[in-house]
Amino acid sequence: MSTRTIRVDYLTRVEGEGALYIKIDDRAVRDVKLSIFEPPRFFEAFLKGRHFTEAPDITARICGICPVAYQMSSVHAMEQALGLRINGPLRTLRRLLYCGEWIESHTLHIIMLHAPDFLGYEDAIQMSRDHPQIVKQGLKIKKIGNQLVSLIGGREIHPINVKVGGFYKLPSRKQLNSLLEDLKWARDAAREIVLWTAQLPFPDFKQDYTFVALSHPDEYPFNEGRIISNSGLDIPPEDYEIHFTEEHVEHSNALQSSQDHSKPYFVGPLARYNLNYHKLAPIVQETAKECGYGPECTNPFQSIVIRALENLQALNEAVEIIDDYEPPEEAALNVEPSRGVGYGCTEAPRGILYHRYEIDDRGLIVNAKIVPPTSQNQKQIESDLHAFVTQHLDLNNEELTWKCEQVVRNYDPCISCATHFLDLKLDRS
Amino acid sequence: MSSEIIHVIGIGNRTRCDDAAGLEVVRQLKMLPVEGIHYRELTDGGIQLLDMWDSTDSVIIVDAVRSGFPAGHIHRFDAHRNDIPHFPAKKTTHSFGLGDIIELGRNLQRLPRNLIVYGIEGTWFKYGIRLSPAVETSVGIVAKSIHEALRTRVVGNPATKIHLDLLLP
Repeated sequence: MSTRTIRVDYLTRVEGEGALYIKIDDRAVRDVKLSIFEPPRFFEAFLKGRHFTEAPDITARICGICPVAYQMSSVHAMEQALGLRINGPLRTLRRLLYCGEWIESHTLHIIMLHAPDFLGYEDAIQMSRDHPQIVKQGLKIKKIGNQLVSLIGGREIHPINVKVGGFYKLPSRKQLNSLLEDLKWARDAAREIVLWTAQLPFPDFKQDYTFVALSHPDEYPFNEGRIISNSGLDIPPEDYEIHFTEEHVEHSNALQSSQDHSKPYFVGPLARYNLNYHKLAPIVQETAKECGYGPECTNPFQSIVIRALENLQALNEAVEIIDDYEPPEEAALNVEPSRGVGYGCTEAPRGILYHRYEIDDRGLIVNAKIVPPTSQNQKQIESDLHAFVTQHLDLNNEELTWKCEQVVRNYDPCISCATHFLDLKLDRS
Repeated sequence: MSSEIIHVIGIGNRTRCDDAAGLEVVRQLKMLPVEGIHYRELTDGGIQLLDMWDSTDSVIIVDAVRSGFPAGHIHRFDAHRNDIPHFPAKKTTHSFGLGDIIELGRNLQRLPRNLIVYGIEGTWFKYGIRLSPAVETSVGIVAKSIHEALRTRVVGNPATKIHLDLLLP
């Protein structure tokens, strides 16, 4: 029996700490394990007994890159439990906040974490020597996204201005207008980044995925919608746990999700794009067509292009919202505690983020469930690795290792989120 | 008074023992501040540093390091003359390390005119709020040296570099 072992102690350019083991014998992949050893963080546990008003601030601490997503899923869930619905300008302001997060998160990943793979650089630092302009442009766009989050959310990281019912304080028209010219510049720059990413060399690797994302009748999804898939699923968020389950696997501190107890599924930009293409703004669809992209894309390596298109979408929407901004009458709706169960599912940059809370009549959290997108993608990542390695056994260990790391980075995993960094071991035995 | 903009930045984590070294240096400097100097304490020395440097002439950064030198050893680098080593044990998977940011700044021509980096070799990086004795001593030495260098800098001539050739006992 011929054996082969490849080992990477720490996978770089992902957020968080994890390991990967792949065993190959007799020219077949026998085992793939994505081991997340980032310590478990127990947020679901220590939310118990806290007041419902604390959920946005506590859950925001789960992630420094996508705190707005946690805040949005938590406030929507709480508001549903309390029979409250946010509409009008307050709802629009929440979308604007989410735009800011998508912009900074997507740009960081595209330029600083993912692009180096396609150009053969060890990291973005090395890449910046030969491509300073694109890195400068990316950092400037990211900064503008951070500024938008800071303006509406009160702070770049772990925003402090979000509450159940709305916000603590509203931005003025003048404050939002101060960002408008920068956002317009960033929108043009983001379009150039789409064109740039579309020229990158991509392996020919397409899989038959089950894509899962939110869908809304009128808009590209952020905060609200039904959960749909390309295999016919169409459910409200309150039915999420009927169709999707989590289990603990021995090799990971993060629970793994599956559909119907066993099947992997795919969430994130590629899923949203494939399921909501026609909701993208005209400028985004036109740019996609210009790059040769239509409504369907099933190559995960091309997620960098899709992410760049979503970045353009977020920037375009931010400009449009600010152009038409009328401040809400009140910063927040009045909220009174009452017993209930609420469900929230919003589109974090990396995919759907599901929250469920049960609160008692004093407004204290009885139990909580949080399912991040990276948890949901774990099984799919392992499946991709299995398929990719099977198709590329002829590569030497060094090259195959790098490609496997790239397969993981296609998903922009946020391992800290998943535990409530990657060490790759390829064992060719 | 010189119009030169000078920042002293301490980077670290107050809950990880010696990782607070940079923050402690700045805390001590703020107890006896020199007029016109901006003092900052940061928990993350990531990409935000580049934005900060865009509007700064001279920067002194202090951070804890772990590279195998004896605890308390003081490293000093001039970013325009020396390569900043990457200290693997301080690498974090949650952001870019200081060495990476400096190299990125160099590649993008976004380094301040003067950039001095102090690394204090730590030995305790567990959870806790105490500095190890050797690091505590070095924190005092670095804080005193930086204070003296800033206090005695030549003022009145905007073209004058601050004197950062500090003598360490």
